[in-house]
Amino acid sequence: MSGGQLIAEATITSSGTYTITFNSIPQTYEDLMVIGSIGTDTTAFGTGIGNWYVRPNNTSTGGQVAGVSSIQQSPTNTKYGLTEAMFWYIEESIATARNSSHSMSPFYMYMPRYASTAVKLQALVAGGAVVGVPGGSSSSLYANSREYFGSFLFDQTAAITRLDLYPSHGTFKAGSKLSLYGI
Amino acid sequence: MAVGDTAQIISSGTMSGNSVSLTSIPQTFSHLELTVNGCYDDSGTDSNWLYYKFNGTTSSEYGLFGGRIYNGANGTISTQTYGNASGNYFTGFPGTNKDAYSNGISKLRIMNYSNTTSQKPLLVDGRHVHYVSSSDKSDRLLTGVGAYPTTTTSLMNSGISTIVITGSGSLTFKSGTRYMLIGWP
Repeated sequence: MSGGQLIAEATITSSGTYTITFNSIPQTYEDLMVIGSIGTDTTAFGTGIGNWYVRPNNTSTGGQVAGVSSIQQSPTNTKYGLTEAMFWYIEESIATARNSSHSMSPFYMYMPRYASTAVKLQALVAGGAVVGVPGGSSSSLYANSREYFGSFLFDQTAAITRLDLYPSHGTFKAGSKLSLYGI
Repeated sequence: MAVGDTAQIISSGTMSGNSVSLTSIPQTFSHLELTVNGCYDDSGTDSNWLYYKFNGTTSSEYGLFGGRIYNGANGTISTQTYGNASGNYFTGFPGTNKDAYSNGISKLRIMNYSNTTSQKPLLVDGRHVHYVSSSDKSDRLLTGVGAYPTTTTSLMNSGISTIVITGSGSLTFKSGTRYMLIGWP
């Protein structure tokens, strides 16, 4: 197969999309990779960051665990979820002036042997949020910023045929883009 | 780009002197992945910084947050957070003080780099390990999340078309040091 082939992409041109779904993922590659630039249009939190989730195979009855090491201003901790993998990303947060409508977060996830039924998926994940007040001081720029890097376990031996990605509050911000690759 | 398109090497090559410029980066891909591996040609340097600058921007537009882990000669491991809004991104990069064959890795992943409306978020990753002996070893790990530009809205109206890779101070790249820029469709 290819050294890296675009399977699908989601480009958000206006707010209102709650879930990005990559469905009917071909089982013909060795590995999968997701690269994204994402944000949410919510102003729900005062910290400028929100939570978002990745759920394999649309399974909501458990069996999924996320283990993600994180770096904060007071490092570190680990986040666990039982029904989906939880990460952080940037909020628009105009109300709190933490960020702007232009703010975006990176996301990277690599999923080796995603089509195997002999192993449980162990994905490498990385991303986070640089929280910044435009024109703000250095301290206000980085307060509440987050970085995560670690591993995401899908605690089943099922092959990955679908990925759903969605925020805890609001919808994906216009300009968000997620690409799914087969390796 | 279209479904079925494949990743491509935009540019690759060996590095010499103190700086390498990647210009006229095509705006047709979705994401960029830039990898540098090798070391500085300096026997007095254990590790120093390697800098990245976008589109010639020299002002404080390089938002960066993350952690650095380093293991000194006595095995002490330190973790810290950092923020940097000065005129570049950076990772650690080795010299030849510990090992004449040093070969560090520095990587940037820049998401949606060609968009003209929003920040270009990115991931920064730099790693190298030295093991001279059990009592003389050093590791460097720097990992971070970034957003360019941090504050100036007008700079968001251009995709990233130029990346300049520069060694710290007057340090020069050792022969064999190389870079590779990949475009992901």
